[in-house]
Amino acid sequence: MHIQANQLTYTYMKGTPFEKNALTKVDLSLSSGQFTSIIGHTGSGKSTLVQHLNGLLKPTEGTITIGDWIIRPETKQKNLYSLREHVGMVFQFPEHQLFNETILQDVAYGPINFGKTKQEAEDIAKECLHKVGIPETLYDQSPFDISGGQMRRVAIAGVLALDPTLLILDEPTAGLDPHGQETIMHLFYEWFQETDERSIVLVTHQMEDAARYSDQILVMDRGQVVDQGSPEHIFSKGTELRKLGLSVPQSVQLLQAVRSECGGDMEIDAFTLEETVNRLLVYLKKRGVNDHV
Amino acid sequence: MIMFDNVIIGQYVPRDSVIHKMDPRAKLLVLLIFIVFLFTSRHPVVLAFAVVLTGTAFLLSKIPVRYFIKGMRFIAILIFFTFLLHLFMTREGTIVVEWSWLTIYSGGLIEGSFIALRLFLLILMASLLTLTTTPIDLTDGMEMLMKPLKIVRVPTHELALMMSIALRFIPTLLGETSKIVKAQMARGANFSKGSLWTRLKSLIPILIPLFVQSFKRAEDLAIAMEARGYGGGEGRTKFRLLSWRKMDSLAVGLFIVFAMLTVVFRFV
Repeated sequence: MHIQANQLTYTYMKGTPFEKNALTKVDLSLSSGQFTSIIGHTGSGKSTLVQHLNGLLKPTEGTITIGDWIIRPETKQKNLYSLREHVGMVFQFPEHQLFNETILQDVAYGPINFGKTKQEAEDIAKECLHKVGIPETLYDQSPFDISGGQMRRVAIAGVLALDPTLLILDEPTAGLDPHGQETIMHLFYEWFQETDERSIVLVTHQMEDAARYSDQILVMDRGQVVDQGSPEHIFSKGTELRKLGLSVPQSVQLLQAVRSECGGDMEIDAFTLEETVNRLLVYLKKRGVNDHV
Repeated sequence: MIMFDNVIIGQYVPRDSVIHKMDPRAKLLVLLIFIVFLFTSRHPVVLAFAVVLTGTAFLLSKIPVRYFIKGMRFIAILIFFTFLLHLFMTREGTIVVEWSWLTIYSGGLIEGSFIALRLFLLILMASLLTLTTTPIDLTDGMEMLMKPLKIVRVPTHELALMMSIALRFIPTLLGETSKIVKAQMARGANFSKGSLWTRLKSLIPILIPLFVQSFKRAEDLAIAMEARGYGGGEGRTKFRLLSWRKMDSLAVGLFIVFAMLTVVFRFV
């Protein structure tokens, strides 16, 4: 779904002594079918921005358009209900939303809410649980009896079960071990590639994830979008990013370090292990140290 | 979440004011005196005095009026209902309005207004206490005031600790609730559709995760406290000391005068 924000402003607790501006006049346009990452320092407004994408928050000023829905400050909550059927959202620590007696019932909660019959919902739930790698033997267990990593996967299945076209991920891998992080991100990426119209908006502190999966990256600072572009474009600006309290992916750091230590010419925009090794090999070859490689 | 933005119960508003600087013990004492004696007399002079006291305290506290009024909306409904109840239930004095089944007596009108005014003053004073005192100060004050009860083996320190933990976790719980509400709304939860029963049932997906989280947090907190060697109040010294100043004596004195006044007007 196409996303367009015009002068989007959001103020928390407006009209109280605790009033706080989280977004200030954000203009934004994201075309459909893209993987977008939002990076930014803590408190830069990333989470506030993505909560507008499924109408959990309404702008204090300005408008935001998601597909056919236009959200204005005066838009009624009940008109946003149908939007949530198409926009799924995985919060930080999504396992906190589990509540049902069995894992299967918990995943089926969303589809039932949006009018599926119990049987249909359970079929969808089974399919999604299979996708996230939860074995069938666990379906009838309580979601509170399984491990933390499994809980997170069940919670994610609960969101995928809505079959959204736009998926919002708010730091979905926080608190997981490196292997778990990779599996979960891989899972999302596979889901994303299944059809053409699916889009993902990912909020992350992991520059590696942002670089690896995104078609484009938004950089946020103090409630504003300060830069937008391809991973190559964004991560070529190491100094600017560091000023905002951000960094570049480790692969870029490594190549940068090699280049500045040994001189010579090398493209540093490699984001996967394979690419990085290839760049290094080409670089070494060029400098004539190919005897040992 | 919009519905939590206006909760002012237990909320502390940092300001630089005389009331903020008062000793929490003094504030607690003053409130106690006020609550007890506000209901002693219904003489107009006493009520006028109470209004002046509350009004002055509110103005001195520098709490933004708009913020306060917004937070009082829910309580205003409560006061209004109490007023109506007294209006219809009291059958004294002369009849003011008589319209089919509805009869309003002058006694009801007076009684209702009295109760509403007193309730309003009471709640205003009580919320001023939490609005101008940090939870830590408040519990410190309570612990000190309860100290004499130690002789009869009331676990004052533990009570104070329980209270400070409860107060400390109000904002955390509100934040948590708002997050879970959002997560379930994203999964299609609808809290404003259907019969009362459906609406109540729609709260289950919020309450269960909230309880689960709270128990987990309680356990984490207990472990963290034990890990840092917490062993109860015995022999524990205070890092922050309360200081009683002239202003505090003055405030308590003023409220004692108010208390005596109510007694005088009641029995003389």
